Amino acid sequence: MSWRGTELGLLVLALLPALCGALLLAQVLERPLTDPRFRPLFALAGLLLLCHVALAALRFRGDQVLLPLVAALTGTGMVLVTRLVPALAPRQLLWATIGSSVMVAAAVGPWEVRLLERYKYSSAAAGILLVALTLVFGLDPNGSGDRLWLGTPALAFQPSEVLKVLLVVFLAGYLVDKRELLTAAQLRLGPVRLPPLPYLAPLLAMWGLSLALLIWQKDLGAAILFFGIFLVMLYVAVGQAWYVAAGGALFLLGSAACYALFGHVRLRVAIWLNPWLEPQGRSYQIAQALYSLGSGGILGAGLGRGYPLYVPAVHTDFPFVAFAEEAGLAGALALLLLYALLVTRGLQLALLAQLPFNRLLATGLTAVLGLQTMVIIGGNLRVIPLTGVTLPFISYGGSSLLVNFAILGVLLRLSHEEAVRRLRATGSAEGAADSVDRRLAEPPVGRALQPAPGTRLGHDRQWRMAPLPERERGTMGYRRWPQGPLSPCGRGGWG
Amino acid sequence: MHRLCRSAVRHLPADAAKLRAVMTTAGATDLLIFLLRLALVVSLYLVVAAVLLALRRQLQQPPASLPAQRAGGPGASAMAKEAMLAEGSARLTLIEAAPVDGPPGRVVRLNGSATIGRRPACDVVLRDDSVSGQHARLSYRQHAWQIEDLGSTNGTYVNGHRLRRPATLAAGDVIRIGMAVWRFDAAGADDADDE
Repeated sequence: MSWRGTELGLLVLALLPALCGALLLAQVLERPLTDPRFRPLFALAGLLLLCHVALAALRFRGDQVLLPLVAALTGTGMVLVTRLVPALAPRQLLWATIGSSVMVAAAVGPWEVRLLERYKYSSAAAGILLVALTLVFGLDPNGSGDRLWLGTPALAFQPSEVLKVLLVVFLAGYLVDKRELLTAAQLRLGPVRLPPLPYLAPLLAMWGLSLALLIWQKDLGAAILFFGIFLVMLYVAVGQAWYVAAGGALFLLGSAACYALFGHVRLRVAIWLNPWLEPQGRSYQIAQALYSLGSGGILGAGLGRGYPLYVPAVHTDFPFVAFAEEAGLAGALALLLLYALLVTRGLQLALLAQLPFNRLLATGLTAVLGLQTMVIIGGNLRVIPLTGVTLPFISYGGSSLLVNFAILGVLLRLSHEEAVRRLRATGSAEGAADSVDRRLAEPPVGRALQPAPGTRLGHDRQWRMAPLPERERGTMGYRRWPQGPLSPCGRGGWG
Repeated sequence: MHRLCRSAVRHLPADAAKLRAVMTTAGATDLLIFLLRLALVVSLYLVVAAVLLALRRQLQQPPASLPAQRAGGPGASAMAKEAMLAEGSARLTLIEAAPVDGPPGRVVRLNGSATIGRRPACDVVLRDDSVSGQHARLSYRQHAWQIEDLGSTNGTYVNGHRLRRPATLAAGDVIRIGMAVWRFDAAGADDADDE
């Protein structure tokens, strides 16, 4: 049993907005709190507290801030669903239950995050396969015109959500494996150095394939997201800014190509540029959303007193706008701050991780959450064209909720492994509980540095490295370390 | 104000006395609703503030267990011992380190001055990420070894106390930089096997 006081305190505080929301709705709708429509909300609060108890009971030693943050977001989401479409609240609760069980299982289960590194190619293949399945077996339970779901109309699941995570796992594993090679200068095209193509090719192929599938499926939001995640992870792994510039150029080229080729892309861009041409027609959704946003004010119209339901599919596509109308600018900014804190904490966990794979994985998963939030809120506010991604933890959507909880579970597991490592390194008596934790105490797999006899630290560069492990024998002896955030410092010293 | 009228009009009773009563309860309900709306937004900001405080606290905390912490700051222990070491006769021994910096036990001989940090230009290079580019400098000045923090993000701790200004080191002082813990003492006869 580990005492997680910070988490408990923050969690209780985080469930306050949900409680206030319930009280407010009860007053506005003139119903008692015992009304069945509020039961999913209270059940969710109980569920999240139960997660905390489970983590504490199973001697989880990881981060104490992530669960409360997510609790605040999920609670707000449940309040919104209860206000907008009360009939769907029990399903949201169901998916939240499944998601939080997956999260707790991932956080305390008997596995190590670095095991994912072994399955990078299988993850990539599985993800592509899943999305390819929607081409054949795809369902469209919402009648939105795109067959992006798998399963039965009663219980549908969106594979592109899982593909995101699988892609991150693949990229993390692949980039960690090959980062030295990717930064080795092989070809020069004027001022630009290209990495060896045999190593860049699988990366581009995997990513190009996912993009092609998504664009074919008209899931443009996911395509943008994948592009962004890819660029972020590439930059973090190799640390060369020209990759980002090249990626940006590639994105512009790709967007122009999509614009020229696909009618639905042209439609989306036209609606984005001027929604007032057909406000009762094709740009009805974004026009109503803008009206809704504009009638919020600073403190909002009040939960239950605005008119967000004029916006079609507000609970899936525009929850941010609904919240902004009813809780005002103040509420919307608070929500943005919560997401910013989530991303901040995720990146902090990435920095604290010692293994490069863990580090890159944490960065990638945080990028998934952050970029997704940016894309959907940008679309809601008409900063960028609207796409079909969901707002993490707040949107009504089962697969989104489940996958985001799974992401959280992996981040929690990462922080737990780091905490256990640190505890063992400082020789703390608390030590590790199970065999997996004991294994974590060993130094990470890698090259052992042994000082040559007769050298002084830092002054003489006479370090001899132990022979390379098997898998790195074919690297032609590349010794240059990349300068990105993952790099050990410099090429001298102990590098 | 129009909302008040709207809810009042919904339940408009026949006579004036009842009307006044309804208007009052409608007013009270609206006040309650306003307070709850405020509470919703304020509680969200409370969560933000609490999380920020928790993060800040975690960043500032030194790790749980540190070996051999002495009472009093670095200055006090220096005065307590006549431990003014001559130049060139001091060394640092690594007691604990982050996993990337390898197993402890290393010894660094100090020659006049040494900078500790992550940059390759430093004299003692650490790979731990909680160490700044140029974290601290040990230098021999005025017949004593001094340590100063070079504006590092996470601070330099001597004997458990954070370094705010340059301080004199005495033999046996424990310096913590990032996750690495060094012991500062005199280079003794057993340095023969270093050469």
